[in-house]
Amino acid sequence: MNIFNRTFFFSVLVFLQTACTQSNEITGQETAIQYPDWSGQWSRIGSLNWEPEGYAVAGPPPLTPEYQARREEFQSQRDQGMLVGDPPANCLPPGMPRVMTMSFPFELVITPNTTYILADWESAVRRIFTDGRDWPDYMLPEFNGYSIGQWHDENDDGVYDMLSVETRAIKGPRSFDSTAVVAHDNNQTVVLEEFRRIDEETLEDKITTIDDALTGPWTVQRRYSHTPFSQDILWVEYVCAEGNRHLNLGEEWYFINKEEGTLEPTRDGQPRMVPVYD
Amino acid sequence: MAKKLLGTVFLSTLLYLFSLEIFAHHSVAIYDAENPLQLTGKVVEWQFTNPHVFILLSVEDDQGKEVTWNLEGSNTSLMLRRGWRPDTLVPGDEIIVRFNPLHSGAPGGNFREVFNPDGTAFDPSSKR
Repeated sequence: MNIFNRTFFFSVLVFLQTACTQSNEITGQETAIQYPDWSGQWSRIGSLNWEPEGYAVAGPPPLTPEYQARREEFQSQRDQGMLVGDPPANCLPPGMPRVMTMSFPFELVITPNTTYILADWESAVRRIFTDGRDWPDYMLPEFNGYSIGQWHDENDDGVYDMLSVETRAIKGPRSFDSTAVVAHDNNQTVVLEEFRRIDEETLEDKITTIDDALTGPWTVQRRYSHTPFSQDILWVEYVCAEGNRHLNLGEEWYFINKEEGTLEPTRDGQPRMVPVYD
Repeated sequence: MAKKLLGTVFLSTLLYLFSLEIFAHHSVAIYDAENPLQLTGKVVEWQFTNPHVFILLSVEDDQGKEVTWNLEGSNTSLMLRRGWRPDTLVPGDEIIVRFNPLHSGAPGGNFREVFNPDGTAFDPSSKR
């Protein structure tokens, strides 16, 4: 083989190797499913409670007789001026699934291992682990629970478009919203979710709650409107303890009068509490 | 006239629905929404805090005694978006406040609307 033929041979070899490598790289890029861009700000559409929009899928929560009676008792006490059956009223976090009513806007941060939901409400963070892990042997109960998720490419276009999530180990006390529907005292709640961006402007979370206060799984849907990322987006800190005036002592509820140093009654016939110093 | 009245009713309904919305991330059961009150007084303090803002309003009662009313509003997130700031009200400002009082009759409530002394709607941006 003369030098010309040898050079030509190696040139062809290098070309083929390069082409082959590039082809593999392109193939690799094509087969790796991309994560969606759900950045920006998401704001709830509709009421602060699930009703009526969120009840469109399955109707009101199917309460067991015990928890229906409890709800009616709470409603009767509320008519008298008590904030019963509503833990966030004195600054407990809303927890799952109520946090997803999203009183205030939230942000989604998607990474391959974890998707973060950063809510302005109580500055709550939800971590949804998408790294393929299994449930740990022990999970310390927390108000937002422990969430494991899985991405899906429902339309096979190479971009994930649905995030399914299961949440367990949820701490109480919790209410489903502010309408006196509370989760069971045993806190064995499991929440299943499916997040989809149903159009450019709208994200939907289909939420199925399994809880012993309910006669069966209860599915609601929540939609959120999109504001694309910009410097004009407003995020506002929310620290409930800063100025909370509602106090629960035993069976009673009081209104804190900071200036007078007293506890004002919230219902008829309830005595005002004034500190006495010896 | 009828058109104007209709417009006012429509606007009032909208405002009512809107005002209900701004204060319900927890129950408002301690306040009596069916018997709202309106008081004129002077601002003692404007607290721009969460979970809700407060107007401390000094009002003269029937016996001529100054009573401070603790009037709870919405959260800072929504108030900020509507133009309210930590310095929107200052001590001494005279305002009219419409609010839902505590069921108990104690001097507290959930404020829904704020007006200038001449009865016009208070515009928070007017203070900037």
